[in-house]
Amino acid sequence: MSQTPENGLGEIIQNIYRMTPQGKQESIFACRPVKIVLHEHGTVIGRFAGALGLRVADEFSAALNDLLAEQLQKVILDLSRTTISSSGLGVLVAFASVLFGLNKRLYLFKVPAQIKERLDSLELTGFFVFLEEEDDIVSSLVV
Amino acid sequence: MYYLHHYFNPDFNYKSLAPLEVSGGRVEYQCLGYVQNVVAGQTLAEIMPLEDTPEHQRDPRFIYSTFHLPCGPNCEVHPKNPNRIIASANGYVFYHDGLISIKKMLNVRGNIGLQTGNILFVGDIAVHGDVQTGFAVQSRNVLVKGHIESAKIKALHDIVCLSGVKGAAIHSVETEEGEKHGTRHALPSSLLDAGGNVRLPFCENVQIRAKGNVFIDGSCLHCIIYTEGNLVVKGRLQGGTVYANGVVYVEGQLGSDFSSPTRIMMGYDPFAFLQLQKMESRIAYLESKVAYFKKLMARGEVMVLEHGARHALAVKKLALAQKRRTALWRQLVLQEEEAKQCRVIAPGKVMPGCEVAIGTATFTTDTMDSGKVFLLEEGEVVCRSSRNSFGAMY
Repeated sequence: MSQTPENGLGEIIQNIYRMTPQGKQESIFACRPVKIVLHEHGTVIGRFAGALGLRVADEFSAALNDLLAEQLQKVILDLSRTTISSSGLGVLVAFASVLFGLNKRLYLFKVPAQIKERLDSLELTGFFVFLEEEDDIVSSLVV
Repeated sequence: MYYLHHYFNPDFNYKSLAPLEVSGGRVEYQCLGYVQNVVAGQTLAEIMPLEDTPEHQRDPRFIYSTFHLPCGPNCEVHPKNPNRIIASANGYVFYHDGLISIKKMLNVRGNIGLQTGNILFVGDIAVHGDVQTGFAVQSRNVLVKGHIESAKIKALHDIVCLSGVKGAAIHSVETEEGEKHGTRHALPSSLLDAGGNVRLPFCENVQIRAKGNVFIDGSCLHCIIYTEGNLVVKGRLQGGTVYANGVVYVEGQLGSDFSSPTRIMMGYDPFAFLQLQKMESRIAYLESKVAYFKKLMARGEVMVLEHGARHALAVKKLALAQKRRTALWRQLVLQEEEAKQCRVIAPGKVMPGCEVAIGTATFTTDTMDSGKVFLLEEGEVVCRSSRNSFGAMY
């Protein structure tokens, strides 16, 4: 499975990206600060690039909560290009808590080492599932 | 004039919760949002000039004439931004006597059930009632004063239950993808998963996973236990399977009066066994899915168009799962040093039908006996009298 240079999520979602006039790939489902890639079997893969802090936290949280209105089986967040403050971590924990209420878990894809260290120091790693490779994403998709 | 803007719900009331509404008018009764989690360093509130806040967002209760930061326990002023209150510890946030406070321990003064929904909490949790069937709890440490029924408890550290755990034997499991499928053998419906130790007065039809030790003050019936530490059962260990790599001590009775198989597997990483079992289960499920889609697609072009993508995904997932299983088998190596230290110590009765496996060697009891120690000697599992082996101890 080949990797797209932009997002590293591979062929499996390539067919729902389009090329912009500048020659870049972007999702056809752009939604506020989180680019949502909605897989047809109820697996949602979202990508957030940038700094997830206090100012963006409300909007990020609202974007995630919009997903809950859908009949989804799984939520995967690509954080490969994200930096997170404590408030951002709070948003992730709050969303993981809501998903826990639905008997689901929040999957985090390619979490940078600094964020993982932060999660370890706050004893929060156990509340998420970490995916490192593209194959892990494919394995976690719902058939 | 100043306005205090909150980054949590200041009117949160755990006694008046509503289930989450999802698409199609459905409600999720297990998702009530019982607790407002906050993490250390998270901003809770910010005071700003009144004119900076749009009028429609102003709540008159939080308009102050002077600069006012209501810092309570476990809250502090942001060291670089004195307009903000931040959390200084993980916990849940609430207003108490006009101050923003954080508590690190959550007390649930009742059952975890329809009144609370599932609870995920970043601190420690104490449940004063039962954890009812079908509900789940996850936190740092979990203390349950009542019973645990067919529920899921997950703790980063220890799990303690003061009244006992009783699950049920079920014939279907749900995968991590949320897919349900049948199993050949009955599995326990109750799950306790601890990063530390587990302590229970008794347990029946429970799956226990512990990175530390497991202590059962009474009996352990038909349970599946994975522990990287030691297992101590003061009553009976009857039925089920134990995967351990240290000492298994069963004081009352090892094995069942009716010869229900009781197995103890040692010498390998218990959690490697668990991963392999999960992978086998997933492979069996995916094989059935591939066969199912293939059968549908054989009906014609329309079916190929409808199910082709899902069939391709199932085939891809199956290949990955098989690759992962092969890698896991390669990692499952005999831990020779640990195997030599493994012991099953049964000072009480030992019934026929007990299988003790240490590494590749096994021993199955065929008569009733008492006061036995099972250990690995020269590549074989031998059964010695505990009186001879430990002298004055017994």
